[in-house]
Amino acid sequence: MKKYCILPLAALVLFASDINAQGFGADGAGPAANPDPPTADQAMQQVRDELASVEDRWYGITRARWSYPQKYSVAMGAILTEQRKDADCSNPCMMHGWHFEVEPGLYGVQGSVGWGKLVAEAGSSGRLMHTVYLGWAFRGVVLRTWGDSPLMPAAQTLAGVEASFSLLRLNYSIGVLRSLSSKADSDWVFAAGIGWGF
Amino acid sequence: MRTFPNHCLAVIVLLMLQVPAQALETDQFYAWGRPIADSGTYLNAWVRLTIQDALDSSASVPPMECAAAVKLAQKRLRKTIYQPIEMWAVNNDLVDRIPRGFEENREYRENYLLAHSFSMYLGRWLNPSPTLEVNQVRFGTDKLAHFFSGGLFYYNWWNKHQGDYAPDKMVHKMLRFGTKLEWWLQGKWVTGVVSLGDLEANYQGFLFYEQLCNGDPPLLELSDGRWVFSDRFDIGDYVSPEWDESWNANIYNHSRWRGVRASMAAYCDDLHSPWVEQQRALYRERDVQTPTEVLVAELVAKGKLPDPAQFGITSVCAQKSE
Repeated sequence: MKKYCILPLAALVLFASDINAQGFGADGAGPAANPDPPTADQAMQQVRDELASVEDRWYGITRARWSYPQKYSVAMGAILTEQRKDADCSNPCMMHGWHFEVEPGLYGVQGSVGWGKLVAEAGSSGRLMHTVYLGWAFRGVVLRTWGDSPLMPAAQTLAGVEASFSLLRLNYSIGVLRSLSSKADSDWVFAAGIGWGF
Repeated sequence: MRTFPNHCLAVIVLLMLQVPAQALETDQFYAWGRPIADSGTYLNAWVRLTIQDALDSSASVPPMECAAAVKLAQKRLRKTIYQPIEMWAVNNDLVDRIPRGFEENREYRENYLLAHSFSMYLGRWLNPSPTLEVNQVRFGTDKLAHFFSGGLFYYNWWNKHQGDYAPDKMVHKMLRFGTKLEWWLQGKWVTGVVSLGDLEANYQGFLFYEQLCNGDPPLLELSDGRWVFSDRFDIGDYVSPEWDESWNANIYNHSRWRGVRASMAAYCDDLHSPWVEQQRALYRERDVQTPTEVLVAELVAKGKLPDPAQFGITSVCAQKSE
């Protein structure tokens, strides 16, 4: 299983290096931008510019959960989203976009790609959305089981879809997967999990 | 067997989902004595740009009814759970606020009024709202969310119940609906805190929605076949000292109050500082009895609400010095 742990760790290192490369300090505060009140026209132009000043950003996402059939697992991944340039997400940011996750667990590893929406904050990391207040996602998933997994055979590959919902840090997920193995007892497997993250 | 209507279930689920956003707490004591630049012009600009963009997104011929234009605007101003204006206000370089940035946020979360309450308390699972300033009045960014979200609840109630009550009873009934909402779903039973400031922001939000088509003159104007949002809109017209929770005290349940009282008592030394005295004198001058305050006084007299005065800083400091 160890080789599968390398992927999320690599993603974490990638984001840590990205944070430094972006020059995010420990405190994204910066000086107050409006010591003198602007006129209505100036404010209008500044807000218009601010709202238009966006960039594509990768944010790290993570999840730890108990689920069937993986049992305990930890996921790392990233979401690509358009964000205003001055949003540091030390307070909750709203975002949506395509994302991926790699989730090694006790009885298997799951890879997923999907689209989701979340309100979350990054704290000091600047780019790792560790506190999810609200979120939902639909994902296409591929799961490879092993060891003492409850499936028969224990080691098999499945593909399917997952719906995930997060509220106040807690994550709830359900999925339906079809076995790609001809030796499987049952073609269809229903998955469900509860945990923390997105 | 009588079945529970699906739409009722949907409404309950939606209201429950509102909880995280509506349960955000704030602390204006924390910002006492610290300068905050006025953000009124930026907030006005955001509202104008947002509404005009919504109106321009649907250029129908002939032009839509005013009510349809309001619907377009409200879809942009109010989302189901987190409100766009608050998401923007807490995450940009233009709106000055306390706290600002990660380090300040961390310190705020460790020290704000509710920081020492029970750790499983829902309010502590959420980010407390920062304080900003408009027209020398300080308030949490959560009030902006209440203004557009709670205001819409009131506005929809108002339109739905047209003709159900005598005109002089309508406002009273609507505010009663608002207090029930705050009591059952957004405040007391969820977070243990009933914010009278939230109720004030809700009511002002209702006035704003009502003024879009029925103001004197309306804030939405038809010009050359196109709906235009008036540049007369000024958030400062709606903001009042009642939005400041260090002035307009919340009502706390027993367990929440124990921790809050201790945190609040720490500000007693500041109560007579020149800055605080000056600010409270300004508030005293501007404070008028609002329809919400009339209703709250009535509910307190009937014993249906605890007297908010006991949760105010002056009461806490008077008890402390005894």
